Amino acid sequence: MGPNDELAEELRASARKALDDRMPTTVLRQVIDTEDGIDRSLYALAADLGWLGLTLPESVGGSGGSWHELAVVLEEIGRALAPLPMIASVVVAAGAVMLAGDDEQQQRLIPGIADGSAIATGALFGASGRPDEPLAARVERRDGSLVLSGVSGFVPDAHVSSWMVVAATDGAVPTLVVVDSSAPGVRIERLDTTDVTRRLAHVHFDDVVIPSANVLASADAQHVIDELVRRAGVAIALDSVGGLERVVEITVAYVGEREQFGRKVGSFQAVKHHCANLLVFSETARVAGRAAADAIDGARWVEWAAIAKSYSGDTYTEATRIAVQCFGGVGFTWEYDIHFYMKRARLSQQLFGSPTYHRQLLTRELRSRTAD
Amino acid sequence: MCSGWKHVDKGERVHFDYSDEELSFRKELKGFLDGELPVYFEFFDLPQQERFDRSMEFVKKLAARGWLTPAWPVEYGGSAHAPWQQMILSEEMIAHGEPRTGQYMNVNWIGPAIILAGTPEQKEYHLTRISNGNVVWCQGFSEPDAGSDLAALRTSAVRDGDEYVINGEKIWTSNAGVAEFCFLLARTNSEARKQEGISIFLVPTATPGVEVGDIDAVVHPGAFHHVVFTDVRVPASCRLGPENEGFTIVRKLLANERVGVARYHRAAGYLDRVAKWCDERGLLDDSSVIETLAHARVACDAARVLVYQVWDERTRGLHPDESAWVYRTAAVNAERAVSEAAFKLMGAEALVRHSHADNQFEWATTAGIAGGSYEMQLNSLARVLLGTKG
Repeated sequence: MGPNDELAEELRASARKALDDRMPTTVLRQVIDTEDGIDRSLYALAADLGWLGLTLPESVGGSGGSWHELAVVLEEIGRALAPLPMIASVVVAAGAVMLAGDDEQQQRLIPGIADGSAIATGALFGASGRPDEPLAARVERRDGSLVLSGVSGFVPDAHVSSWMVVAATDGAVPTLVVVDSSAPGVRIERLDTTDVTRRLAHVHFDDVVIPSANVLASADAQHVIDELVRRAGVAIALDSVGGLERVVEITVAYVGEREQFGRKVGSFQAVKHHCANLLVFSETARVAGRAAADAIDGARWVEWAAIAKSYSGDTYTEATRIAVQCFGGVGFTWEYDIHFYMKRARLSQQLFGSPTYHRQLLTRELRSRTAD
Repeated sequence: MCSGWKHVDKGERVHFDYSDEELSFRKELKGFLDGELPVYFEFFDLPQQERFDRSMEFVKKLAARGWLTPAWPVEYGGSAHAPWQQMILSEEMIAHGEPRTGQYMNVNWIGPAIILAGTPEQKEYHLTRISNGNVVWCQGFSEPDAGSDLAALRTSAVRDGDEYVINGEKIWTSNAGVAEFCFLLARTNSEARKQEGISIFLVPTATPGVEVGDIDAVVHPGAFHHVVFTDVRVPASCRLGPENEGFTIVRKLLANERVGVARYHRAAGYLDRVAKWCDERGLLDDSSVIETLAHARVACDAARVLVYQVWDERTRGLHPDESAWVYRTAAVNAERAVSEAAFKLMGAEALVRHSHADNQFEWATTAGIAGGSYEMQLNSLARVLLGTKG
């Protein structure tokens, strides 16, 4: 427990209230049936409540807070399954511009993210949306301009973005450019994926002209991409922490009500063990997720980020599988909420690096430290 | 007679291979199926109505060749001499998307139940139609408050002269939307112990008072229904077997339901696709990829040899409850292992809705629940092992 915890708990209470009021699953069910699948008025509220600018500097419209507070908001969003494009816009897109952009770019692009008037995303990977595959987008210089072509797969929230940070190869090395989502040559192919609470798209680039002001001035783009994978990974781990907590609650409530053989099903030892395992997963993921959030920029950040993302990815999926088992047949009806968590867990496990990928990062990190 | 699987016994060898005769049957069957049907995934992907229409057409052809009910006694339209043919059929059917759709239940246990307990009239009427491939059945077992605890069912059938009057609700009734008959469990004595007051009824679904609705499920959309019975009057001749002995009959037959469709064979077929996907991307040199694929493959093959053991015991006249439970858990593990392999190897690509990976995820999700939960199978096994009552 640190000195910030009172503040964090206040933030948690207000975030939970806002999401309980505005995004109960009855509302979520309506939002996922809309064309864009997000609730813009809730996004505006998130901006008003200061969630979007929480970790952005005051000079660009943020409040200069820490990941300790952002963690609270991300957990509450995961708990509520809230369809908000916050990780894509704030953590990835704004994160990229803050890490790799110059003053002009930051002043031009970040205030809109902080006040919610713009949504952005990051298209950082190749066709399969994985960090461990080659990029499938490239830039070339043609008649004095920079031209982008190729594809970036499984990009979150691209369909509602006004701009995106794209990782593309420039010769042999990666580079990062900002692309206007409505620029000629950008085609956003919406995808229908298992997790109905979030939307992904393949983004195709067909000779998109990139103004020189939109090239992010970083010497080492790969380093920035790696850092964005870590940050987005931890953000997803925190979303999973909130989801896990809620999965424990609703599963325990259900097995405490449902009767078979003249008893509550929660009184059977097999079901008790399932519930106890859910709690172990939830508590462990929480400790790891919060440790990672507090470790950002510290000496053990790389290590904690990999632990949090890989652990939450595997346990959230396993916990929701067990939870559906506890619900029995109703677990796969639309009427009950548990399936939303099961599917959100599946996508979270894969976005911004699978557990396998993050475990490999962890091993490399530990080995490099031993070598030092 | 050479059979594919020999019982593991003192001095007796275990053969994992099918006999030449059985292999040539498999080859002939495959040739027939390849000519009649698109490959598994395409058949499974057909719109529901088209899948059903093609199934009805296909099953009649299967019946005409004597391949619908080969394991039944000859007098009821079977060939009776080839128990392993039914296993081969089961595997090849699911490899082609289970083109019998709901009719596999007729063959596996509804027909056998009628053979076991039916009157001459019921046998004459129903068995002929089943073995000709002309009729779809649904199974009216589970209720909102009777899932794992099936014997707690409350749908009632009250005798009124020469009729019974049925009231109640059934859920998870696959094929109810297209079925002509429902194999219904209903309570005929509410005073007796819960297992001892249940009877079986063969109810025409066109009877007034039978209403079928859809369950809005997130998996296998359109596959699950609920059926409401409101003052449904059926003649007493619709009852199968003696009054109040339905549960005993069903318990015997459920061992067949536990074998069910050859899930492991379909899952293994899908795993081949995952392996191909990896191969196309040059991933098959990666030891962790090979390990993941092999792990799932072993889970499928473990389920396969276990079901062969069940089948072998059954052909020798035993009632292999215990092996059937072991097999069922292995089949669930196979479904899950293949689904996990797809996620692990394909990443987000495995999350595209209505893709084959998504379909496998649905099978894996329902596998541990449908037809008796995984935990219930373990309870049954533990009871046998530990000799405790539970």
